Amino acid sequence: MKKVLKTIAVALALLSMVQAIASVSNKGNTETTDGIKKGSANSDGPGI
Amino acid sequence: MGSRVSGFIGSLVMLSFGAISFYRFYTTGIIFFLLMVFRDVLASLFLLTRNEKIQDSDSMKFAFISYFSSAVPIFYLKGNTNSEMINSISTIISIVGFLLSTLALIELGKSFGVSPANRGRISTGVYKFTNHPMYLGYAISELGLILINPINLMVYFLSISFYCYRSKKEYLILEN
Repeated sequence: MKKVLKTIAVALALLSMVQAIASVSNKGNTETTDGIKKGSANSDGPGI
Repeated sequence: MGSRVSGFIGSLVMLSFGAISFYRFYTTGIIFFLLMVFRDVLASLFLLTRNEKIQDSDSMKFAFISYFSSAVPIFYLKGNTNSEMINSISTIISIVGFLLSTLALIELGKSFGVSPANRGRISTGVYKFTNHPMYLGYAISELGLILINPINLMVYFLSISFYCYRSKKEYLILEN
């Protein structure tokens, strides 16, 4: 029983970490320094 | 106050913390809150079914200090940094600490309690590596809060002082 509970705790912690890291990398991929989203109608084209 | 009554009240408190954490998970989608729900529900169950004390501190003062110490983290201020990187590092530190204290809670099981008491010595799992993994986990977890707001250092010192005091008291009770 303890093993099951520990596995659930570790799995939730790992998922939380992945989510925290993903939120940073997503932010980096979708926004330029002036806040214009890449690929959006406001951008000057792909890759900006 | 009888052990059963205090266990029941403690169980209700932990369950209400769990409900708040679930609401925060529901509204934000942050999985860390789900880990908090898991921990709070487990703590609630363990408090409800915990072992009888073999020996306790026989003092309301120590019980009060323990409960106050548990409430100290609510005094931490929210972050004042705009850096996503710092916020994420802080979150990861908090997750690591929280995981350690959750593993300690699982290991303690029915021996878990808030105020110092002897409900049986545990020396398996994370308790093989340190005598107080739960406090160590809290200390690591709260370290992340200093990163997002340096003023939190003052609360941190207060919190750590209480953890040291409680661990010393627990050590004395277990040794007797």
